[in-house]
Amino acid sequence: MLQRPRTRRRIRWWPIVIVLLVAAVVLLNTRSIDAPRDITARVTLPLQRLLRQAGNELRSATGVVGDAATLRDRNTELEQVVAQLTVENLRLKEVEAENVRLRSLLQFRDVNPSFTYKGGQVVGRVVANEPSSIIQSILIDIGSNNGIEPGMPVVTELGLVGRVTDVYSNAARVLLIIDSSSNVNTMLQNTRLRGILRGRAGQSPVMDYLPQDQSILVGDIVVTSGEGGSFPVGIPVGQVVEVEQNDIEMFQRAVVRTTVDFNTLETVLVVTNFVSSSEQFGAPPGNQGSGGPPGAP
Amino acid sequence: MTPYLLVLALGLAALLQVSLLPALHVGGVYPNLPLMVVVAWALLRGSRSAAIWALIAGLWLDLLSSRSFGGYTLGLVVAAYLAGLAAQTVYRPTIFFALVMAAVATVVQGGIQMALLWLGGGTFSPPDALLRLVLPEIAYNCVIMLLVFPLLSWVNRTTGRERLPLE
Repeated sequence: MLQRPRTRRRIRWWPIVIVLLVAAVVLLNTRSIDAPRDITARVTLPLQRLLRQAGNELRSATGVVGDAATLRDRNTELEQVVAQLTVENLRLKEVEAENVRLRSLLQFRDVNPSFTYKGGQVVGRVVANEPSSIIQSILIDIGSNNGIEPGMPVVTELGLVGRVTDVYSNAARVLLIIDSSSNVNTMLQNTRLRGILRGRAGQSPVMDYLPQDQSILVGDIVVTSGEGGSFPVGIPVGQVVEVEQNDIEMFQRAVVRTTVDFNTLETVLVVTNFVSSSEQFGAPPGNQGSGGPPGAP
Repeated sequence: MTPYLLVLALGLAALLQVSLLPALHVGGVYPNLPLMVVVAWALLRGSRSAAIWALIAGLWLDLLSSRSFGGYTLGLVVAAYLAGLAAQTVYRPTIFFALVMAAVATVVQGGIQMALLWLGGGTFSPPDALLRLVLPEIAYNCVIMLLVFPLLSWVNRTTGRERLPLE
């Protein structure tokens, strides 16, 4: 009689055993893997830098082929100009709003009057992303050797990028505000309405926990509120592009288009002179602010 | 081919995945090279050999990522196993079959990543994530498979019955 080859049985068992072992590792996951990741980053960073540079050059080389591509470049330039003007306008509005508040409050005292991005920033280049486009984090080529610490805010000239979550000796991992595990305390610039900006996989982030009785308009500017102590106040985040309101829900939500284009991110600034209070109190690494409604304990 | 060379080759694929390919994104989506390599190898050499490749490539990816350790390994090993099982149903895998398996593996891998994301407290809508991330990635992965499958077929022909390292 014919017998089933023994190797065939092994073929069926091998992957199952591996899957079970790996699943166990995932479920029992701890952050004790930081040391091997640090070594990997240290060894592979020069190669990652080269590969990313090659990728960026390849992308820009393929982008100038043909008239359509030239128009696209021109469009990108104009979009950048519009974005810069939007940010400038936004900052002016923020200053104006602050002036009004200062005039009305005679004994106003800003808790961080001398806070400025200047003098407290370190420029880092983006060298890698996550292996999957479902998860939104980047690796930058500066780490603890450059004074980078977990919790530090990361920005560009256009606005908020995210927060440093893992720091290695020569590299750091930044969780982007568009990642689905990211929560940022934000507010609408003109109405000062507070909400939490949540990232969503494959979609624009949404500003949640906005009271139902308040009016939110498309085009409203979203900035960081500073609540929770994870980010400084007033960093531009984006603009409301859609309002989602449902009478049966307790809160309304606003879909936000970010000022930063995360697909073309090449260099970022890490704000090193801001002390994140949430990090001091041991907030979980993925959480960039409070998880509940603004004002909740 | 020595085991060291295999580990380095899969490490290079992982480095390309995190550094070069994201720069070549289309609408924020980029292909999954290690996944395509593992699936193509499973079709050519079977589950067992591909599971070992998946384990090595997955460990590289997990070391180069920031999320739960083992997540990428899990996705690759499951994809390798399924591709190996599917390969047993055909006499000889063709490029068309490889493209179909590339699509299936992308959905499986995406599903595992989303499940892990959900377990980690991430907020997303599965239909939207499928439509905006996984479906475009299928198209991109199929393009990569058109390059990877012939290349690995050549490696398979060249090595013949020779057992590759760690096989």
